[in-house]
Amino acid sequence: MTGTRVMTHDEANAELAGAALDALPPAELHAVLAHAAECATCGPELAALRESAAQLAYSAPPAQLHAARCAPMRQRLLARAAADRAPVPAAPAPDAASPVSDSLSLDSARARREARETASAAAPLPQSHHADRRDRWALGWIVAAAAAGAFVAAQAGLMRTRGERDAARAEAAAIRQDAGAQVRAETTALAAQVAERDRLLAQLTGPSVRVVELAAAGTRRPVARMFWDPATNGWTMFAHDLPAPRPGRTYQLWLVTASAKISAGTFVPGPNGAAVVHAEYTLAPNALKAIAVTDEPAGGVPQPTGPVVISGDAAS
Amino acid sequence: MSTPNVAPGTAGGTMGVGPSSAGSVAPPGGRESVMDDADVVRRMAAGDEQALGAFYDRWRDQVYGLVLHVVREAADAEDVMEEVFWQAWRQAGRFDAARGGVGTWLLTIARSRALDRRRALNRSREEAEPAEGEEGRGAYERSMAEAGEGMAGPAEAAEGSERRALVIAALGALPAEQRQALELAYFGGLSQTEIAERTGQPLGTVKTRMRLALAKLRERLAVLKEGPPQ
Repeated sequence: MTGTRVMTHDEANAELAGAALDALPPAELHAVLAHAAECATCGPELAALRESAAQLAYSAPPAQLHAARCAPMRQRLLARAAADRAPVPAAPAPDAASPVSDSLSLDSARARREARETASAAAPLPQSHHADRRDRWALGWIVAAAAAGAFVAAQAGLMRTRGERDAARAEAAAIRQDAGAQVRAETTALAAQVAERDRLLAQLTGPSVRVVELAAAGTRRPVARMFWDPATNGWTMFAHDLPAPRPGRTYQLWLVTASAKISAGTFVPGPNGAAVVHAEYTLAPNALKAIAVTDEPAGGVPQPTGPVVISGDAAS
Repeated sequence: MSTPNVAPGTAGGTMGVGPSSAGSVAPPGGRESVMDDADVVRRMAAGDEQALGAFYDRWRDQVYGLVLHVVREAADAEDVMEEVFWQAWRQAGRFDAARGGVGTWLLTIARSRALDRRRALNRSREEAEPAEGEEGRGAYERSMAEAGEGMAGPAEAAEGSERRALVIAALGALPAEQRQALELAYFGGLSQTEIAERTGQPLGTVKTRMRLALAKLRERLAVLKEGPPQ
């Protein structure tokens, strides 16, 4: 971000109402938000005015979605949620490399919208979401890879993924031929699966994707491969042969730079030692030095404290 | 095929991994109704889609009313409403009660998405400005008109929606030009400059009206406590 105007306290204070209603030009809004973020008076004042402005929503004339539309929408939402249980977690990353402020630009309408929500209703935190049940297909891929005795070549895995994706699409198409809310819900869930697979395919095959291999010494040798796409800030790690963590412990994934160890989340592998972890984090292309997984107390820690279970040098 | 037990990253300083694969965390039967909104959002953040259902049931009418008022087209409002609840699900983990109530959070999302759609519709129709008279008839006027047509007015609404009644009363107590400035900004998504052009008033006057109006609104609505729109 360049050319940010700096406002005096009086200037910013006079514009708080306009900022609370998002009625300022982007550059001015940015300047007011920047001041409010640092000012012990204007920050709380802006938050209170935003809260008041938000009450205007209650003055909208009452309206009800038609019952015939209401229940199907609810079903669609629940089906999508069941297929895509990945809300953005609340836990902040305290390191100075927190990416949201870096990526927040008020130079576009979209960024302005994000600024509204971030400033008024959401914690300005790194976005991260991770593998869950919807990634079973991917785990199937991992299991197959493990059975083969080693990490398979990425291309082979991708072909399998594409095959599964195509099968899901075919299944979705067949289901669409049926009628009824339940069928529509299932179709939506399948479409979400397909979208997720497409997302992951893009994550693994993008032109800028970098791959970091992780390995460890020991009788049982866990291995993992991290795919990092700087173009999308997406990080996807496939691991297997990880021993189950002890009770009360968990694994925590770290992105290691020259100046920081950035948590990319906690995870516990399945019974077969396989895991898939996905995160989104903005990092300069040359900043990554290594990837590491440590053994930590359940819930994770702000900075690594436990032994390194597996690690990989980004430069190798 | 197995599934990793991906644990929520709840410790401070971690980029959490969610959601838990422990299954639904819905409370025992009958307790759903007494969960407050923050509890419901927390369950959503933990990956409980049934909480999303409860959240939808609680807020659907309020969200639809706001979105329809901004977008004005029922079909578009329906699309936007679904986007709003989906975004709430996806961003439930970001909700921070210290920054405001659930209603503020959700309705801020709803307003943003509705204004996005309205602007897109305006662009597609090459209608940069809404029809004369449509925009000027704000939520307050429409609510008053509908009250006259038998829908809940301030007095009746006080029984079913104290919050709505208080907001309408607070708006009604504002000078018309101040109320108009608020509504053009909030529901119309207009900037102060655009409001000045629309109303023919100097920009400084619009800024002053908006500042005074919001200050009065804040004062009058200080008694409100966040809760579900019932």
